Amino acid sequence: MGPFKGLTRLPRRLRDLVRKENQHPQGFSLGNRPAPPSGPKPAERRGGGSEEPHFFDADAKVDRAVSRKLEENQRLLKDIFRMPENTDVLIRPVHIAALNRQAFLLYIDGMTKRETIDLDILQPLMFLSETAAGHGKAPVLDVIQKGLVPNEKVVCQDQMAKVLLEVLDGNTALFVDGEAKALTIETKGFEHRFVEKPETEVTIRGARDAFTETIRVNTALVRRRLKTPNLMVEGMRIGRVSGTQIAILYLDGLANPRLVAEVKRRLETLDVAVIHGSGDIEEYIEDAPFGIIPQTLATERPDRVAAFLAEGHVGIIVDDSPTALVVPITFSAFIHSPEDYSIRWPFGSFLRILRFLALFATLLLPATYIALANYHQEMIPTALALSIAASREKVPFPVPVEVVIMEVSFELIREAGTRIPTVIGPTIGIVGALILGQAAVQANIVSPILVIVVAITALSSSAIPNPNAGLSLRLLRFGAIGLASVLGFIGLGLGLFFLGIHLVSLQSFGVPFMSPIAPFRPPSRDVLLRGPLWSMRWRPKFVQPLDSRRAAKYVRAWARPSAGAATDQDEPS
Amino acid sequence: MLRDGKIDRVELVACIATLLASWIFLPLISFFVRESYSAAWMGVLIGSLVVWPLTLLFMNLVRRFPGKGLVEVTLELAGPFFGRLMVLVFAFIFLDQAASSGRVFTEGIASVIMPRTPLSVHLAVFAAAGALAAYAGIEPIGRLSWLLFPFFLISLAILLVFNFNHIVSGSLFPLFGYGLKGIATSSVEMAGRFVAILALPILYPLLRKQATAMKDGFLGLIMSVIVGVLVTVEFVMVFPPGEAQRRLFPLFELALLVQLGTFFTHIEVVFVFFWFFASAIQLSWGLYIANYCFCRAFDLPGFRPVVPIMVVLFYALAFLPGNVIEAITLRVKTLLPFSFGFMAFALVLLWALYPFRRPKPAVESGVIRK
Repeated sequence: MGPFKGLTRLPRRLRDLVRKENQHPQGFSLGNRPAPPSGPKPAERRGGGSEEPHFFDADAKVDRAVSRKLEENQRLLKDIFRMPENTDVLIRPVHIAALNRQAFLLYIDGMTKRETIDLDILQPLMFLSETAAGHGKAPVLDVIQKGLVPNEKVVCQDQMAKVLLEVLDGNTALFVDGEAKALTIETKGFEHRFVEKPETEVTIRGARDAFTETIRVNTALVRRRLKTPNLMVEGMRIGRVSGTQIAILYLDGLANPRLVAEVKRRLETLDVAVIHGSGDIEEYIEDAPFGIIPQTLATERPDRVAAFLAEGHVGIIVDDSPTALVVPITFSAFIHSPEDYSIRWPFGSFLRILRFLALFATLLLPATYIALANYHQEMIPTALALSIAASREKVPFPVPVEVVIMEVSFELIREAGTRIPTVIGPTIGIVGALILGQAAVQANIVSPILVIVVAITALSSSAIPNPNAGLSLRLLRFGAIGLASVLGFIGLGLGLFFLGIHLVSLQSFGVPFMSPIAPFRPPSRDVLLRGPLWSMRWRPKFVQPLDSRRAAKYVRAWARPSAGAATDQDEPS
Repeated sequence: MLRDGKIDRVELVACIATLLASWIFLPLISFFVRESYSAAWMGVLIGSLVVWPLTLLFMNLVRRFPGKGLVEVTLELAGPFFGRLMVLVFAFIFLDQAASSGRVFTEGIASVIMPRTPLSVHLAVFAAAGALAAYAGIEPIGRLSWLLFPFFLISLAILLVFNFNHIVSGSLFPLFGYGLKGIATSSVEMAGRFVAILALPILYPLLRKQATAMKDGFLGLIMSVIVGVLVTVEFVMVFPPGEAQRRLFPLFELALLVQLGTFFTHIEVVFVFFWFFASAIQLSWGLYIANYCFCRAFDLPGFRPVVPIMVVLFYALAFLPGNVIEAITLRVKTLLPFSFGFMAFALVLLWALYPFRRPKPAVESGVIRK
């Protein structure tokens, strides 16, 4: 297979192991209890098994037990890892004096924590092993595991494939001469970014921590907010080459088991070489892959994931990705912000109305301007019509061309502002908005009123809390511009009708995207507006949680005349 | 899709109300004013309510065939040949109602909003919207009906409220207009338009909650009656009967009068924008039900391949005849009375056949299956 032979895929044995472990999640469980058996087993993959081509010539070498002979193990590992060409894979020989055994450590430099290797492994083995010498005829690995290595996670492995998987994860393997097993020791310690503020979902009063690229940190950020043993963090690996760790989070006893099973089924049946991040997963598992509207919620905020889990949703965290996914998701989630719950409900509702207006402005404002200026001038009040006509007097382009020029320019500025280093990014925005806009008006390329229209549209699109939804709207806006250019308001109506049909047809993990509006479900006070927290007693029903009740009937029990006597004994859901 | 789709209660209400209220886009009010003068609203009221007892009888019949709707019942009672013929007439009624609404609505747009765009383009846009919805299936149509129905009602409410200042209260008198004969003629024509309520027994197997079908259908009917009567009353009061007879597009005419202060003096486009949705929904239902009838009649496994054919038929029907006045006259004077007559005929025939072909309990190996 060309120049990438042997470098692009994990050995077959490792792949099989990953697959096998996925079918038994407790093997890689990141949580504190084994996963209950749920859902259908992954379907047989087409073209899987022996039909897959062999890219890696080390399959046979990996698919074997650990040898008793130290040299043989060493030779095999050097062969598998192409040492010494592979410079970050290290083998460190060790002499365990008190046990009079030769041994070696296998680890990957940069993925391990040196202090842990030095203090938890090398130092006890080389200098403190005499303390364990009195164990007599106890098995050597037992002595090392129980008496020498002061590490929280030391596992005895007899299969070379399992050892390799651990080493590739950043752990260290200890091979001892004369032993047909190896110890894998938790030494993960690669460099990672620390928890920082969210960059795209900023709030004023809410929490200010965001996910990082480390799956363990991310799961901990969620667990810190949901201190219950019912929080399940099930693990699996996806990607034949990347072996990317995925964590599925849900609240056992609350999330609908069928939903959890469906999420697992979709993830387990993925057969792909590499997972680059949560974006890949999102695209692989969504119901309508050609849809323009996102069907999962991508968020960088752990508090948001925790809030959704508490409603019965399922979260997916992908290693190496600072964005978690939440499924299923509905339309209203895209205009909600964690900020809504940090401020009092009238203000939260007001902000939602603003965002809702912003949503329509983002989608329709330039198109409406075209429709009015081109087809329905009679609608514009006379004074305003004269003003627009005067401002367009020297502009040579027709209105649609003018709008497209401005919109494309603005999208360029926005894209440049995103890609350019943070220090000069804002400067680019100012340069683009002020200088280019002003220059374009002075050069009579665009009319001043259009600059206002585009500016309001840009502001509106920034008010959409979810970046993915914002992107969708920006793209749809160009469609609206096209339809309004051809057919005015009737074209806009046609476009909205098409969009409406698309939206009501969409599903996210079987949940209609427009729930609970269409199909209509009993009124929830947390859809377009946000009701007072004490009145939002029920969880959204479209997720079909096992327990619908979010709060007791009298949350503010202290405010009742018979304060103190208030209990939870209200009617069941 | 035919097997899987189900519609909820609120969606059924929106469906029935939209189907039955969409006649307000037609110049029927002008015709009624010509026939019964100031009593045009009575024709609307009587004609719309008279179909309800017939609907009850249809529903009563359909309920005797568990899991089946009017189409299946017709096929079972009237036999494969006559049954199919009757079902095709049902399909034609819905298709023609969609076509007439579409034609007049787009004529209105072409004359009031976008005169330079050819009618064929307007109608093509309209057909595209309906086709996509019909192709998407019953659930998306039902949900979108429900989603857009409030906007339709709100736009009508605004229209009515903002025309209060143009009302001439004496226009409703004499109370019985030209007399009872005119009212009766209008009623029959109106009843022909309300034959669309057959959607209820036709879609019966696709209802998620069949137990409340009658209640929901009646609610939809009442809403449409209220809308129809209010629009007619206001139209007659704003344009006194003598003038109202000459106004071809009642709703557009009313919309043209709406002003918001001295700043916004022409907002008819905004109304048309919302009515477009209502009209497209009505077309979608018409296409879907026509499709449903056709596919059920010939036992086709899926309805999607038939959608383009129905759209072409819709397009052709909408242009028959070429002149809009003739087109409307043909429908009001011929097709609407025919629709009502056929509804009554079908009801009598099916009930007459029922004693002879009523469903028998299935017997298998001597054991009666429940």
